[in-house]
Amino acid sequence: MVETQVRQILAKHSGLGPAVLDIDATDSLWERGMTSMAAVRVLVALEEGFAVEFPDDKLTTGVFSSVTTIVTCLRSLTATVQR
Amino acid sequence: MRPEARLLRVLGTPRWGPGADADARRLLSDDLDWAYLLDQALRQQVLSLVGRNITRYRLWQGPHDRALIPHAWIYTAGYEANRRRNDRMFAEFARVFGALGEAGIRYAVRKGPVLCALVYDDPGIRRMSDLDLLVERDRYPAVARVLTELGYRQGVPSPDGLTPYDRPTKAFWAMHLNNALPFRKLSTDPEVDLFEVDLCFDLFQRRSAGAVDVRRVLDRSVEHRICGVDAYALDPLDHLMDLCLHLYKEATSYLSIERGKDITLQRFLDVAESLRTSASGVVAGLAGHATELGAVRELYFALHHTRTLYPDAVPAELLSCLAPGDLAYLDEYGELDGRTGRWSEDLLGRLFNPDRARELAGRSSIPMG
Repeated sequence: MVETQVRQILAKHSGLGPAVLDIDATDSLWERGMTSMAAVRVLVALEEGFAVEFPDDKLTTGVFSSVTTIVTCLRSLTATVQR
Repeated sequence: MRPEARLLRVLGTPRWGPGADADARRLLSDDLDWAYLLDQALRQQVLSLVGRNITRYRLWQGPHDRALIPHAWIYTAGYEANRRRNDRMFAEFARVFGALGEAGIRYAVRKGPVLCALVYDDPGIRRMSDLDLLVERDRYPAVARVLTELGYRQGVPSPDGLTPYDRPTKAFWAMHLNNALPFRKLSTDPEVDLFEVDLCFDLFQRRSAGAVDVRRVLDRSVEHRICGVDAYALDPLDHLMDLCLHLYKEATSYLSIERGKDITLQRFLDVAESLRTSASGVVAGLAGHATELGAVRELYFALHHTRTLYPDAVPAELLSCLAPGDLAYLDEYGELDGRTGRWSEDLLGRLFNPDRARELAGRSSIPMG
């Protein structure tokens, strides 16, 4: 469910288009062409979509490097929110 | 080069050798566009230095009570105002150094205050805009707390004060840059309307090929008397490298070019004067240090262009041993932005051209709001 929503947000905001719905979850989004500004648009959309705020130490290119890394970060943030 | 630009190169030099006075007076006898010269003195950030030299060498005074420089008081007033302004900034920055020291936070002062303290013979001649500090990235939260307690906030100056940066801007800077968003404090002092502290976490940009261990840079930082107090500056080799890396970054970045801050006489003068005042062993070690850091291209760029303007400041043998195979990049921009373009004019051709940004093939992607 989280991954599906992340992929939808990426499809809309990453600049990579609907192709991102089917890429491997560990594929590098940067190598596929996501730009610096697109990553920021993805961040803003994720924060709105999941009602979380990424703390400063999570605002890294590593966190936004793949579907997996984004999902892993979101799960830790939402678990923190739920606690 | 326009006669005004030739004159500005002479007037905008802190150390005058034999014949410089006569050169200046000869250039002053030309039919000059004084509005252009004043505008350029400001754009090149050398107004206060020009003012100091006009006073020191009585350049306003021609023979037979003739005024060589119309409204010469503007330049001398510019020098006096900058001296007062720098005094206020030194006092404020000294408070920042003290607070960081009390908090046990390591830092190294870069650029302006160090140049005023250790390189220039008169701290009033060097225009400063902010305090640049190198800190370790994992200490950023602690530094931010110190600055907040001193009254600083991160925001964009506006008529109402400081408007906090928007989320996309904060995210972009955190993700993609080695600098924090500026910390600012409004001031009611008539000499300084705004104090600014800029933190950087690396001497290199993210897209740079070079790298440096910031902890080691801070390990070798040196205590000096800066802004009237004991504070830490980069060691001499790191100082020279930092100036050259900064010069390269500013000269080639879309953001700086758009703002007209990409190339200024002051920045090349900073490199020239730092070389002149460095011990011979430091200059001799520069090439090896650049090689170790992976910064030869940036160093050569800075020294090549500095030598164009100040030939005596840059040893020819240093340049020749650094020269990369391909020199085409010397007249390019945008590499650190990932979008390279090429200038139609060389550096001297565009240095005094206030419209050079119109040539840019695109806009900066760095958000500032």
